[in-house]
Order: sequence, then C-alpha cells, then structure tokens
Amino acid sequence: MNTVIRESLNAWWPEAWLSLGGLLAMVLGVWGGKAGAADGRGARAAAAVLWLALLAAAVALWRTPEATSSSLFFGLIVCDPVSLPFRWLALGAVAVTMLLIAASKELASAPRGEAYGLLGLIGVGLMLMAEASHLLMAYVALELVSLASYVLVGFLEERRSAEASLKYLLYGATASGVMLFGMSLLFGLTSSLSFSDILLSVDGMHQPMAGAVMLAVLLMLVGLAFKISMVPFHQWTPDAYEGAPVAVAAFLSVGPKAAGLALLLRVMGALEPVWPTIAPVVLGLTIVTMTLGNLVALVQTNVKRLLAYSTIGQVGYLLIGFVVHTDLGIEAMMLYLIAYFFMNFGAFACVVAVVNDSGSEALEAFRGLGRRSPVLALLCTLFLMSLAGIPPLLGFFGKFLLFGSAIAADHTALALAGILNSAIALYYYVNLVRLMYFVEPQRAGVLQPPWMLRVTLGVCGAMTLGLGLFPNALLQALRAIVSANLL
Amino acid sequence: MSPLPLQGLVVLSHAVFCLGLYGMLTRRNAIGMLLAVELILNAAAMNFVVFGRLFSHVQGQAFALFIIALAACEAVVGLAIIIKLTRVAKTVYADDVNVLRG
Repeated sequence: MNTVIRESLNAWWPEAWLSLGGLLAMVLGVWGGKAGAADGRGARAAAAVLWLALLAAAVALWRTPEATSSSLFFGLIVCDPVSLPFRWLALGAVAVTMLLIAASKELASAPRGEAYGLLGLIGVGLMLMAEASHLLMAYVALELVSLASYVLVGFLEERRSAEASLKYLLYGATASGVMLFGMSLLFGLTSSLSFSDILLSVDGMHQPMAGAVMLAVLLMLVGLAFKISMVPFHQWTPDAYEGAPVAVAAFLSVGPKAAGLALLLRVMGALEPVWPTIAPVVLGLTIVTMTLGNLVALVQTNVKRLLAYSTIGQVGYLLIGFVVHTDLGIEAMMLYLIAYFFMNFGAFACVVAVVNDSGSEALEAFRGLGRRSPVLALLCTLFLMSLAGIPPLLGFFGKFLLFGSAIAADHTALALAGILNSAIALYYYVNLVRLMYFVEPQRAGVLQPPWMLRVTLGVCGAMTLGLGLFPNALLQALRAIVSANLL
Repeated sequence: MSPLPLQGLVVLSHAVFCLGLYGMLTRRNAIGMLLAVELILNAAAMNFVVFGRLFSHVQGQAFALFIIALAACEAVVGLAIIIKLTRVAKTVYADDVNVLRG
C-alpha cells in the first residue's frame, strides 16, 4: 500500500505543490488581511506563496516522469499523455488569473489573499478533473471547482455580484446533483465506479439494461454540460460573468471549460458503446450551442455579457472536435483550446484595462481606444480577430483544423454550421474594433495599463500571433499525445 | 442479514429525487431551493448505499460518505452567499433577484 502511494505521488507532485500553495495562501490571506488593508501584507504574502507553488508545480510537471497510462492512487486518477496539455492549461489559467486579479481596480478593496487561495485550489480541481478515472474522483473534482467558483463570483461588495453567485450556486448545485444521481444509477447498473470497469460492463449490455444506462448517461451529461455551458444548460453564463469580477469571469470562461471538456472525453471514453445512440443528441446540441451563443451576442451592450455569449459560441466550436469522435477531432479540439486560452485571456485582459480606466462595462467604454492607447487597441483587435478566426492567427488555424476534422469524418453539416457561425460572430467582434478605431473617444487622456496587464497582453499576443504563424511544433506535440493513447 | 427490499428502496430514492427537482422548480425562497438540492443529493447517496450493499461493495458506502461531506460544504457556501445577499439586497426570494437579466 505504501509503495502504491509513493509511486502515485511521484507523478502527482504538481497537484501536491499547488494544493499546498493554495491552502497556505488561503491561511495567509485570512490571517494578514484582517485589518481591511486594501493591498495588505496578507494579500502580498498569499500571492508570493502561490507564485512559488505555481513555479514548483510547473517544474514538477515539466520533469514529470514519462507520462504513464497506469492508474494512480488505487485507480482514482490516471496521469496519461492526454491529461498533460490540460494540466498545463490549468496551471496557466491560474497564473494569468492571478495577474488579472492583481491588476483589477474593482478588487482593490476585496480580500485578494483569499481569492488567490481559492484560485490555487480551483487549479488543483481542474487538474483532477482532467485526470479522473473514477466516478468519485470526477464528482469530487467537479465540486471542488464549482464550490470555490461560486465564492469567487460573489467577491464584489455589490448587489449584482451577490445575485450572480446565488444564481450560479442554485443552477450549479442542481446540475451537479442531477449528475450525481446519474452516477448512482450507473453504479447500480454496472456495479463499478472506475471508468475502465464501467467500459467492460457496459460493453456487452442488452436491452432493457442498455436503455437504463442511456438514462444514467443523459443525467450525467447534465452536470458536464452545465460546466462547459452547453445549451440548454447555459443560462447561468451571462449572469455569472456580468456579476463576477472581470478577472474571475476570464478564469471561468477558460479554466473550467477546458477541464470540463477533458472530463467529458474521459466519461464518454468509458461509455463508448453508448456513444452511437447519444451522438445525434450531442450533435444537435452542439449546433444549437454555437448558433445561440453567437446570435444572442449580437445584441449585447455589456462587454462581459458579450464575451459570455461569445464563450458559449466558442464552446460550440470546441464541441465539434468531441462530436466527430476521431483522433483528428480530439487533436483539433486541444489545439483550439490552447488558442482559446491565449485569445480569450487576452481579450479579457483588455476588458480589465478598460474597466480599470472608465469603471464602466458598456461597449461604449471602448470608444476611441485606438487613439488613447494604440498598442492596447491593436492587441485587442488581434485577440478579437483571432476569436473570429481570421488568418494568420492561431484561432484561425484551430478553427480550420476543427472544421477539417468534421469534414474528414463526414459531418459536413457540422462544418457548415461552424463556418456560418464564424461569419455571424465576425459582426460583433468587428463592431468592437469599429468602436475602438472609428468613434470619437468618450474620455480624454492616455490609458496606461499596469505592468501585470502588459505582461499578460504581451504573452497572449505573442502566442496568438507566433503560434498562428508557426503552429507545426505545437501540432506535432499534440499529435504525438493523441496517438500515444486512445482514451 | 435480511434480504434487501431493492425495488422499494430504488423507488423511494427516485421519488426523493423527483421531489427535490420539483422543489427546485417551484420554490421561490433561496433557502427552500437549497433544501431541495439537499434532497437530490441524498437521493443519490441513498442509491449508492443501496447498490453498495447489493453488490457488497464498500465503495458505494464510501461514496455516500463523500456526498454527505460535500453536501455540507455546499450548504455552507450556499448559506454564506444567501447571508451576503440579504445584507446587500434585503431579500431571500428568487423573484426579487432580478438586477441581472438572465
């Protein structure tokens, strides 16, 4: 037993470091932030601890022994090659969000130390979601992410922030409860909890048991669909984002989406025999998800709501890679997730800069940004164009691969829907660019973002453009990962 | 041990689950909604215990313990959020929670 734990820990140092850092940051944040100091010692100590933990986790992840497919911790998690990009994305999302939180003026009087602590723990949850190979682990990881997210959404001392977190909590708790009930039914039907045993037991199942498994799977999908805001479980997204601090909204639109898709891949991998039956449902919902997200985004006037609906649309594109159900599709999905990470965090970093300056989240706040801060406006345009899928940016390349994988798998309708949606989406992205360059500014003066934002914008911009021009290395790495193991 | 009345127990857990969902959809008081969620979680926990006993599988019971702990966490977070809402908005009724449009 001891050897199992020792061997498991060997592959699990990144998560261990991050949990330690998160817990310690939490304690420091509560302990040192009592005096109500805006940016007191507690918050700074918490940030320092979490940065160190992130660094240690990154080093550990980099040096991680040849990723194995064997299961760890008695079959609870599996650190296989597929989990690797998702673990990096989780670490990256925590790091970028820390920068955004530190740069946000609206969070200046909030207990930031605790926010860092919660963020570190969510990071652990995201990594666990991506490597869960057991229903218990999947549930615990999902709840870890959810519970801390509810709190982070309500971090502002404002009515709408409290409302947003209450709505998020009520929707989220119901969705995870329904998912849990589905899990319990699946346990009753297969008498096993680990994904590999479930696969064995579902494989030879006949009616009426197979029908009951379908019900269990649909109930489980509710919880996962909620997490990635897939229609019809998307209603919480715009409300939660509008009430949440911008930095938290940025995190929610990237981190949990990536981990949720990873968990979806794992769960559906365990339920492979059921896939042909539910594929039409998921396909239909994918098309509805992207269309609804993009159409409703057209009429938004609040930039956070706009980006929330844009997130729903982007999740629709990402789901294409899942629906086509081929290696190429999974590879395209991973590449687009990486692209989405950089371009969406970049876009949200621009929003943080604008909200810091004007205190307003209306689209009008972007007016004349091209004149007030040319570099910021240029980067913002870059991110928006990448989200819209304009070459030669990484977003274009990702979309190209996604739609290509759909055509290769004979899902022409899916590819067509994606292309049509990209055309619709272009309208609202370009509208924002028009406001920045062709409308007189509302406020005078140069807008100079703080260094944390400049770092974020620089890294995201360089990656969006650089990886878009030279995607080959990334593509080859992902191809090696996907071909190394079939989920 | 006496034989497990499996059918009755599974029907009971489904009934509790449906009651929870019904409560979630009809309650207008945030605390009532939290209680409804609690019913859903306990229905699942009951299933795990029953099936665990049926397969003499200790994992089922262990899962139920985790559900109890996480349900407690959820209640803590939920009540904290509701307290914050009553402080800034003076209401616990979902119909009054309407500053956001969704």
